[in-house]
This record gives sequence, structure tokens and C-alpha cells, in this order.
Amino acid sequence: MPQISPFGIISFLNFLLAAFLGILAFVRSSRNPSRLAYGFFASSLAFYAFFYSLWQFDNNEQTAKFFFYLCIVGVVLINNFFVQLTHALLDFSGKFKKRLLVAYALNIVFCFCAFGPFYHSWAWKYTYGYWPIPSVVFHIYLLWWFFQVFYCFYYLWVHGIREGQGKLKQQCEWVFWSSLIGFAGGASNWFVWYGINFPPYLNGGIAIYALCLAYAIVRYRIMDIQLVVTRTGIFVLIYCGVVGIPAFLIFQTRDLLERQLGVNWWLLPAGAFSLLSFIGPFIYMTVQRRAEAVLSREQKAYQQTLLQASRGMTLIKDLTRLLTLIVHILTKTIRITHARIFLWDSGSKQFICKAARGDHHKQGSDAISEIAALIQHIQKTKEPLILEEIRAQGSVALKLSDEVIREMEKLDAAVIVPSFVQDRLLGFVVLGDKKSKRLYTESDLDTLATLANQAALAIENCVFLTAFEHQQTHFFQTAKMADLGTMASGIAHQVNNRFNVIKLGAESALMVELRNVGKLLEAKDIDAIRKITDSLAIVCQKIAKSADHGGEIVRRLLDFSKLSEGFKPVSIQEAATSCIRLWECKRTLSGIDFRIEIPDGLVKVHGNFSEIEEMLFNLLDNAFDALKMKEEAWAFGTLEKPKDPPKGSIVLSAKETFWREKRCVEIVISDTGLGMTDAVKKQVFVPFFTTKATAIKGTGLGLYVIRRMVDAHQGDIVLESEHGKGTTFHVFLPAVAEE
Amino acid sequence: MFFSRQSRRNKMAKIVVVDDEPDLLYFVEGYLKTQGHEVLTTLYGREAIRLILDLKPDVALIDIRLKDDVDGLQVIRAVREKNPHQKIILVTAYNDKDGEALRDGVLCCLRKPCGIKEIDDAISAALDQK
Repeated sequence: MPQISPFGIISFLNFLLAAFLGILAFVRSSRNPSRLAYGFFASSLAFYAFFYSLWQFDNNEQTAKFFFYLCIVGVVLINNFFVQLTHALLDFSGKFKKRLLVAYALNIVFCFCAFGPFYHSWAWKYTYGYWPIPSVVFHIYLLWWFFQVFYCFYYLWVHGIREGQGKLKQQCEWVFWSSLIGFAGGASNWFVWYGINFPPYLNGGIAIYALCLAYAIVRYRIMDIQLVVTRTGIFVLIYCGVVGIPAFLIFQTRDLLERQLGVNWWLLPAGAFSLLSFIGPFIYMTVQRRAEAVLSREQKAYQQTLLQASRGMTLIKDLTRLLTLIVHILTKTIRITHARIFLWDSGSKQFICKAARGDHHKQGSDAISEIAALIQHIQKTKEPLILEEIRAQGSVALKLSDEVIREMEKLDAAVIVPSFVQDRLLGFVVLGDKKSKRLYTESDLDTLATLANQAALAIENCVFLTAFEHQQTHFFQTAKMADLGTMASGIAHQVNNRFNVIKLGAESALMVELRNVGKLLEAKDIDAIRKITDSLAIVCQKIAKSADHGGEIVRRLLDFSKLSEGFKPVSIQEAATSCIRLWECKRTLSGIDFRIEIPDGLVKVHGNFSEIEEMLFNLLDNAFDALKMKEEAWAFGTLEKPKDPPKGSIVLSAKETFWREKRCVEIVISDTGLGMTDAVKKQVFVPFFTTKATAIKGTGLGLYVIRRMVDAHQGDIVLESEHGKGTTFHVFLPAVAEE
Repeated sequence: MFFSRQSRRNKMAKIVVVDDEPDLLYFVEGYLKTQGHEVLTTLYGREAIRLILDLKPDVALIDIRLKDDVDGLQVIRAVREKNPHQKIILVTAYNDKDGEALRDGVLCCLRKPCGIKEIDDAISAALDQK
């Protein structure tokens, strides 16, 4: 019959606690190495404590010995996992992998020693049960045991407490002091081994230890209770089987077994137990996975959605659309009351709400200063904050001021997920309660944190693109203004010509027609007066025409210099007509053969009118320069002049075509000018490259700007040229989608 | 003053006006004809050279920008080559070609927009010059 031993009871309590904590740790997060190590550690503690209690409860020498063996295996394992835990905690994984392997190897050997070589003989000691008399092997192991303990304490102290910072330092402090209690408790057993009458009551310290350690490593996160209950339930069921089946064998079939197997009857239950405890974890894992899949199907589904969405985010270029999309996804998929995104605004030194969805308008404030306690806290911890958790654990435990709770309430936030780029807090997402009233789980937060990081990148991307586009627009505008500069004198000439005609018309009317009107009226020479009024009518018509023409030039000029507006369907014909009117102000086209071949009803392109106008203007102007340069080359003799050269010609044509499988409009501008050498061809799109005397024309930016504009239209530009023969540019611009 | 003007008016002159703007030619021609001058106009550089060299007008008014690819400065140079004494008045809207033209020996440069009076005075001055 089992005996009631106080040490057994203490140990059994240790077991319950350690098992619970071990499960907790596994449930929590298997990706975190220190939590994983803690899980193993707590499990080995549970293993040890469980068999310790069985051994203490049993007064049968044979079975007590067997439980004792397993208990000692637990002792070996505890130290092994303590070393692993220390390594994980101090992030030694990369550095001291060999040490850990050595520890593992030695401890595996000692696990086997626990089944015999450790013990010299056995005795019933001081009413504490059956205790072994240690052998030499055990002396060695004891040294190894102490070495491991001191090794861990040393590193915890030096790396964790003395040199560590923040959370790590805090964790190490907890682990260090609680381990001291725990190992003092565990070590108190060694006295009895060596015949010193000191009862191992300090074993109780192990419970305190496990609890402290759990707090240190697994603290601050509320867990989904449903999951915990499920996992604990499955665990208990499986281990009832693991322990229960051998126990059943012992109690119910002992007589039968003794009859069959003799003295070694216990081998069967022991074997069954070993087998069951071996396959137990696998059964547990399988059942648990199934159960959780059922339980959290919905949750998994939305987490999947969120992760997919977060991957797509970086493709969005418009910031407002991106932010709206994020809050939309959040509220819809997690089913929460509201979501808002706050972004850093460097102007006002505040985090300002940029996108919102749901019924937050009731109370939440729209901005929060950078010096607010909440922001300071997020900056420090870089982790999501859960209001419920802070409330549950108390602000004191988390070293939070009540200010943080008040500020979260003010923002109407159930959860705050920060987005960091490097160490810079870009902004954060404020989430309301789940409509299901369920709590946010660890895996929710993991998903949200991933989403927040992706969002941060996407937001940075957007901000960069917006700035880039702004700069590009500005750049195009500057280039256009520079072109206007080259046209200034041509335009001035045109405008002045108009004024001149107006002035001369008015003056000639005064000095020619009107001079004699008085005399003629007196003489009542009706015919002469009629002649004069007819003549005046012509003068007036000409004046009006000139004023119209002047106004037209100015309007073109203003159109051209206008800041470009967004993309819309653009008729190439219109753009060409508009740009040629202006171009004519700059150049005298009469000396050349200039033709436009654009079919009526050509499909429109998706583009920016003003930029297309600028492209055409530049290409035409370059073509004109090429003609002039050819003449100069003839004049200087660098190019052989043919006997009777035809007029230089420029042809502007456009047609619908397919380019890279896209429906496009191909604009072709070809000239019979100087053409380019291969060396020049390679460089024409390079900024500041020019073959023209820069004082006369060109910044060397013309073709560079054109290429940038074509790129902005997602089009393409191709160049064909032969020195002495001429140049042809093909510009491909995407056609508008067919209705 | 009055007399001198009167005296000039009586003196009929042959004048060639070259400009790319037909309306301008219309007004200038109309005015100069009322002043009793013989006026010939053209829009083109090539024609201008031929006209001036053939007719040897008392004075030629030439714009820089013309309808064809021969500009006013080329006309002046071509005329100068054959007839160095031809009196020429440059009329232009450009502000940077004066120096070049003056080197080529034009009598004066009129800056557009110029009125009837400026043209009249310039022609009178040219006709008075020996």
C-alpha cells in the first residue's frame, strides 16, 4: 500500500504546477527559443517531480527503485534544459552550439547511468523512503551537476544581469534569483544521499522556482483561454493513459503477471509505460493540432487573409488608398468595431489619424503628441499593447504609468500595434474590440505585427513614390520652362509683329483715311467717303485679326507653361497641332519640308497632354537642329555636300500598333538631318549630354527628359539613326482601353 | 522744320519693303503711297534680293524674319556684296541682331512695334543722306 509522504505531496504539487507551466509555454509560442527551452525545462521538472512523488508514495522496494530511476533521469534532464534555457535566454544559439552539444551528449549518457551505475546499494533512510548509497559514477555526476548549475549562474550573472539591458536584464534577474531558490531546494536532496539527516523539505522551493521562471519568461500576454483549456485537457487525457495503463496493469493484473513472468513481472508495466510515454507526445501533438484546427479555423482564415493582404500592400502607390485599404481589411477580416491608422507628422510633431473605419467617432481623439506616455512606451518596448492585458496585470507590474491606460482609453484602443522602420516609429494602428467579444490572442498579435511591419514598408514606399512623383513633375515643369526660354525671342517676335500691325493699322487709318474725312464731309463727296469707310473696314478687320493672332500665341504659351495635370485620354493630333503652333514661333518652317501624317480618328493615348506636347516639341526641335547641323557640316566641309541636295525634311506621323503586346500609339518623328554616330547614339539619353553649342540651344536635358516622360507614361522610345542620313525616333505610348 | 518736311514730301522715291507679315506690308505700302512714293513689297528673302538688286530703290526696309529660309540679314549681305551703296533700314522685333546688321552697314534699326512716324522719319533721314 502506498504510504503518505510529505515529500511526495510536495513533489506532486510541484509536478502539477510544472506540468501546467510547461504546457503554457508550449502553447504560448514555439517560435521563441527561450519559451521553447522553458517548455522543455518545465516538462522535465514535471517529469522529475511526478516520479519523485511516486517514489515517495511507494513502499515497495522494487517499484520505488524503478520510480527513483526515472526521477533521477528527470534530474539529469532538468539540468540539461536549464543549460539550454540559459543559452536561449542569452541568445548563445549561434556562439556556443558545441557546448550545448557536449552537455546533451554527457547528459544522455548520465540518463542511462540513472538506471544502475549511479548506485552502490540501497537503504531505507530516516523514514524518508528508499534511498541509494551513491557510487563513484554518481560522485562524478554530482560534480557535473554542480558544474552545469554554476556555469548557468555565471553566465546569467555576467551576461544577463551585469551587461544586459532592459527586458533581458529583467528576465535574467528573475531567472537568476528564482533558480537560486529552486536549485537550493533541489540540492537539499543530496544531503540524504550522503547520509546527512537533513530532510529535503526545501523541495518546495522548486514550485516557487517554476512559477517565478514562468513569470519571467512567459509574462505579459493574455492567452486565449479556450486554447489553453483544450490543450491542458488533451494533455491530461493522454497522460492519464500514459500513467493509467501501466497503473492498471500493476493493480489489476499483477497476480496474473506474477504467475506468468515471475519476479520480473514489473517489466511489462514498465515497458508499457516507456512505450506510452514515448508515443504520448506524438499522440498529444496530433490530437492537439486537430482540435486547434477546428477551434481556430476562423482565426486562421483571417490571419491568412491578413498576411496575403499585407504582401499585396507594397504594390499600392497611393498613400490614402493604401491606408484606407489597411483599415478596411482589418475591420472586415478580424471583425472589429473600428480601426484607425495614425502616422507621424513631422510638421506638428504629432501622430495624426490618417485613415479610420468603424464607429470610432464616438470618442477617440484624432491626434497624439510624440511626448505622450503611450508613445514613449511604444518607442521603448516596440511591441503591441493590449489594453485588457495592461488592466489585468496592473500597470505596476508592467511598469506602466496610469497615463498610458488613460491615453489608450482616450484613443478608444483595445490594441495598439506599432509600425517601425528601423528604429523609427512610423505610426501605429489602433484597433477596437472584436465584435465577438473574444480577446486578442498571441497569434493575432503575431499576425498583426507582421501586417504592421509590411504596412510600414508599404507606407514608406508610398511616401517615397509620392515625393518622387512630385519631384518628377517639378522636373518636367522646369524642363518645359527652359524650353520656353529658348522660344522667348521667337515668341516675342511673333507678339511684337502683331502689335506692330495693330499700331501701323491704327496710325495709317489716322494718317491716310481719316485725314481727309472732314474735308470730304464738307464737300458732301459721298462716293469718296464710302471709299474711305470701306478702306477703314479692311483696316479694322486686319487689326482685329492681328489682335486675335497675338492672343492665340499668348494662350498657347500659357497652355504650354501650365503645370501638367493628371493622366487622361489625349489626342495625339491635338497635342501635335498645339505644340507645332508654338514651335512655329521659334523656328521658320518655310525653309524645310515639314509634314504631319496623323490619321483622323486615331485612338487616344492614356497620358498627360502637356507632357506629350513637350515630348513632341523637343523631338521636332531636335530634328530641326539636326537639319541645321547638316547644313553647317556641309558648309564646314566635314560632310560632303551632294550636288543638288533636296530640302531637309521632318515628318511627324502616328499610327496605332502593338508594342510588347500592348495596344499603343506609335509616334514617329524622322528627319533627314545630320544623324548620329554610334558613339553619340549611346549617350543621347544621358542627362547633360549634348552635341549642340550649349549657348545657342539646349541644356543637354531634352532627350533625358523625354525618356523620363515616356517612362512615366509606361511607354517606350526607340532611336534609329545613321550619320549623314538622318534620325528617326519612335515613341510608343499606351492607348486608352477600348470602351 | 515744316519746310524741310514739305520739301521731302515733294521728292518721290522708290522704296522696297520686305516683311513676312502681309498686313504690315499692306499698311506701310498704303501709307507710303499716299506720301507719293513708289512702293514695292515682298514676303520672301530670295525675291527681296532680286528686287533690290534689279530696281536699286532709294531705300529698302527689311525685316529679319521672312517667309522663306533666306532671312533679312542674308538679304542685306547679298545686296551689300553687289551694291555696297544701297540704303537699307532694318526693321525687326528681335533685340539682339542690331549690332550684326549695323556692322553690315544698315542705316538704322527700327525696333518693332514701330509706328508710321518712325518709319517716315527713318525714310526721310535716309533720303536726305547723300
